[in-house]
Amino acid sequence: MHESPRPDDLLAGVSRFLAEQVAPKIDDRAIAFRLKVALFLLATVRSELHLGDGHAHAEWARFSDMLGYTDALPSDPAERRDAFTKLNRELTDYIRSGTADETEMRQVMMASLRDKLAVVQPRFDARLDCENQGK
Amino acid sequence: MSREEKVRNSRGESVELLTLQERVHQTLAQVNLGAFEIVGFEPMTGGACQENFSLKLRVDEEPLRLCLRSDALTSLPGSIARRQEYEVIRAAVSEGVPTANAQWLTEGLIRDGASAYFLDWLDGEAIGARVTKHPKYDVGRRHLPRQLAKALAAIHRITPETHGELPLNREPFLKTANPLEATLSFVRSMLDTLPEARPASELVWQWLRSTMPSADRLTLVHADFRTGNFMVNSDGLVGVLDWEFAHWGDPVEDLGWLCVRDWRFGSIHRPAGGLTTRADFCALYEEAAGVKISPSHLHWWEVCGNLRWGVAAAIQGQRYLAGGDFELLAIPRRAVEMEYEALRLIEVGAS
Repeated sequence: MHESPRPDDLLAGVSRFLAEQVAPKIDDRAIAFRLKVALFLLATVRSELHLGDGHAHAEWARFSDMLGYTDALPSDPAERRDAFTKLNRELTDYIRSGTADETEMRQVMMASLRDKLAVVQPRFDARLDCENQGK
Repeated sequence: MSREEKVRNSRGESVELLTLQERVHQTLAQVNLGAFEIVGFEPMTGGACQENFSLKLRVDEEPLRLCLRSDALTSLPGSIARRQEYEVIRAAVSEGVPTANAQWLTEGLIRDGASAYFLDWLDGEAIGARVTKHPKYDVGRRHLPRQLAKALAAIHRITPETHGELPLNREPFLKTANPLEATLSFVRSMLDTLPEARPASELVWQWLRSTMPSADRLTLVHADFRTGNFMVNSDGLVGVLDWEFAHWGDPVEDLGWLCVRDWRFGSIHRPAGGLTTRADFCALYEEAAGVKISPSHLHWWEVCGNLRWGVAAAIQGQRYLAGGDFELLAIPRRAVEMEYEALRLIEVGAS
């Protein structure tokens, strides 16, 4: 086990350095924009570190039943990735077969997508009536 | 010489900007331009899909600004070559569509096999968030929906019957194809090139297949008609930009694409490009084009537009891995936004 600071602390420190000390010194608009992109990506990584494990378990629980899986979600990262590759492939085949209950599938799929949005775009308004909630 | 000052020829070798400028000079010497000199020539960043150069001339002592637009080394799925784009722009200008006119199509100017042409330079603002929100464009923004509806109706007056000579008859967007099926098969082919299965996109694709309306017109479709591609000033529309995805198709595709959530730039309650409501834009378009737009037909294309942009976003990861720009890294994960929006729209139904 590696000692502290932990990965999240390292990423937080790098992000703060870039935002507070580097950004104010950049005059080039294109580079300033890219720095914003870089900070956004670091935030995505930090968020995935916090939430990714919970999201993976929830997604596995949602879909493994549907596909008749009985195995638990692997804890080894490489095995877990393979398990999700297989799950996504089989889920896609199931959807293409036309035998899935599309209404139920949409509900379940949207729950997984809401988790992913919480990581990649936390400001995304996922409400069904979001168009009526604008400023 | 910085990296930006070089372009690559077909063998991947870099050609110095000055050599290129000399070749541009030779090309322009052959057109009927008059006495001229080149006073500025530099590559443009941003927009990044094609290779664009800013060109400043003095012609008979008057300043003239142009954009040289060339085929890039790699192209996006569904895009046309500059030699086709040139013909599309000339047709659009002749129909009265506000856009930058194209002149002097050339072959092999930037590199062997690449076509290029010169575009009139338009002054204005195209950055989405400024167009939808900046106070400088408050008045222009009020004019925009009607101006855009008129422009779009003019684009859609170009049909295979009126402009059969346009070099646009390509797979899957053939003149004889069902345009909705053509688009579905285009999205399918993009989906199939992704390294990972995307069940959410698949679910949207299946819904589109089973609910496909029928198109009652076949016209030119701009296919990237959205905020971000509209050059705007304080009076409103200056010109419609970026014709690289133009194809024969169902004109309602352009209205649906305009309503895709990602083109609202913070004005989410104004579905038509962050500018107005769907109903308002459709009414303006109906008035300009003299046709009725069915809400369910529009809804189908809006769902389809979200799917197309989501799959295209996912593909950007491969462009990064193939040596593309750093900014491309930020796009693939955004695909889930479009997938969610497509499913949300299906749940909400046509409005």
